[in-house]
Amino acid sequence: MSAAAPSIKSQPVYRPLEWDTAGASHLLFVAADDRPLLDRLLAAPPHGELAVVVADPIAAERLGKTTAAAQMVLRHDLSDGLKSLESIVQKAHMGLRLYLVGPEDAIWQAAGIAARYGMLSPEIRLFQTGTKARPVFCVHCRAMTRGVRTNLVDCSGCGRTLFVRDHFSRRLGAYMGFQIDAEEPGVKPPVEVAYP
Amino acid sequence: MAIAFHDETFRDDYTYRNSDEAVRRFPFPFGQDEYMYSVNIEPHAGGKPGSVYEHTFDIDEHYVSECRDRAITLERDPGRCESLPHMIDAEWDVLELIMTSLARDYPDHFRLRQDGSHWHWTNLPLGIEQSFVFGDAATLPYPPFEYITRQTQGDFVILDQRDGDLWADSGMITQQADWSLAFDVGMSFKEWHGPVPRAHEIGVFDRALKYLLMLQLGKPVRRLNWTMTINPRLDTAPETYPEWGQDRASVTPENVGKKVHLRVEMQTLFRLPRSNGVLFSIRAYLASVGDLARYPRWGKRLHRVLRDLPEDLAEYKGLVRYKPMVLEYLSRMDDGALVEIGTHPE
Repeated sequence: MSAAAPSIKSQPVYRPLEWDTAGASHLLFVAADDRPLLDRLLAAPPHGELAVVVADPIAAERLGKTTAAAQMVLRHDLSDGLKSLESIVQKAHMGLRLYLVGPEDAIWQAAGIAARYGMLSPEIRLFQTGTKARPVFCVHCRAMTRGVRTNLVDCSGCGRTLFVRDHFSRRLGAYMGFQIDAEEPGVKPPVEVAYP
Repeated sequence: MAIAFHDETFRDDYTYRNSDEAVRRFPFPFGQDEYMYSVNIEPHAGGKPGSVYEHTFDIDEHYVSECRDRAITLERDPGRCESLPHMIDAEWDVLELIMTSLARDYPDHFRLRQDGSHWHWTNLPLGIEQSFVFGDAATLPYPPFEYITRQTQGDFVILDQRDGDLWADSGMITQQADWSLAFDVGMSFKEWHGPVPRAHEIGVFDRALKYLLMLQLGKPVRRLNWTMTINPRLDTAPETYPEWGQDRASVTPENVGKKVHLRVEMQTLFRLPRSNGVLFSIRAYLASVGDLARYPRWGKRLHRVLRDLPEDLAEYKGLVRYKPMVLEYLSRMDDGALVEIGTHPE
């Protein structure tokens, strides 16, 4: 993965994922089937108990056949996967380390759940893989529009055409969107796929 | 001395005006003919009588109308005031700092009686009398931070200090230059400043953060920042950009002197005693380009700074669309003569 410096410094930079040897137990959350990464991690599992929660149909299919973890939860979509993650995290003890693998929308929603149950950011490692599609927070009406692949998107809340800015909020797990033609109504740049 | 408060608006019909005295004391930020980001931090330890630096929190002729404008903005969008739950000690710190400062510096307008934890606050310009128990939020009509910042000019952020960083965990933000509290709340110092061009690369935020982490109790600091605003509008938030964005296209050669305002922020930072947080106050001053240019030094200097401003800074500050008209207007006053260093008007 290239880690080019982002144009806006709030945009996360993801380091290559490694197990945290300081952890007493480990929870791997998989929302995209990044095969080289997952094969590398699972070939050398960490000391201590390892649980795996899968929240993606392709990964669930493949890992269900090949992986032997102490605890394995296979879900075929993100919302079910997040629920499973929540039920584990809320019963977790000190020393748990969380590893979040997948698109930004998935891993930051997962990080938000972990934070709600008191996990601290040094205990959570995130790695973006899979689609680059963005969750976008409308700064005008506060609605979230998910799965955005283009530079411009119609807000799911207020319908304004939003420009997707590189400014990222970890608390919201989303990029900022603002009305592109507020200064000159109707004047908009062409729509392009920016986040494939 | 008693201040004569204006009855004026910062929206719709924009009746905001500066008196001659307000223009003269305007915190003009350009001491030289060119501008670049720097960590221009100095002690906030008073200033010349009558200047904006004289008192801990500057109260001026716009106070009453500015508080009214804040109330309108909060009525429309309560999310402009946010405070994460762990910030309650810092909220009381801020209330104490502001009340004691205003009562000390403006005894004609503000009074504070303290009897143990039983306090009585009098705000004469806004007609407020409030008895409350310090530390008991239930005895105030709003949470303590919101209560006192509804009665103070300027925006406020409380920074929580932990893990070697400063986190923007509370804010009263109704007059910001295009940044969103709802989006930024909870961010680290560098995340929050993420969109600012150039300054990261030249190390401004590394140095500023290091400096602010060491900020001491009783030794506040200040710096100036600036941008430009069309019309004397305080609420230039991203939230309401659809309302004010078109104003940027409304500047003409005829109205430029009256419509385009230099907006200067006096930013002050205070260490807070109980919470160890930092209060960041962003006190905005607006003056029309025409009013400023009545002082030839300022007219010439503003012309030169804007003319030579790097394009990415002009873009970030949102000036690109109307800057040529401001330059044309100011160039008529700029004879090219040397303007000596310093921000003074005359």
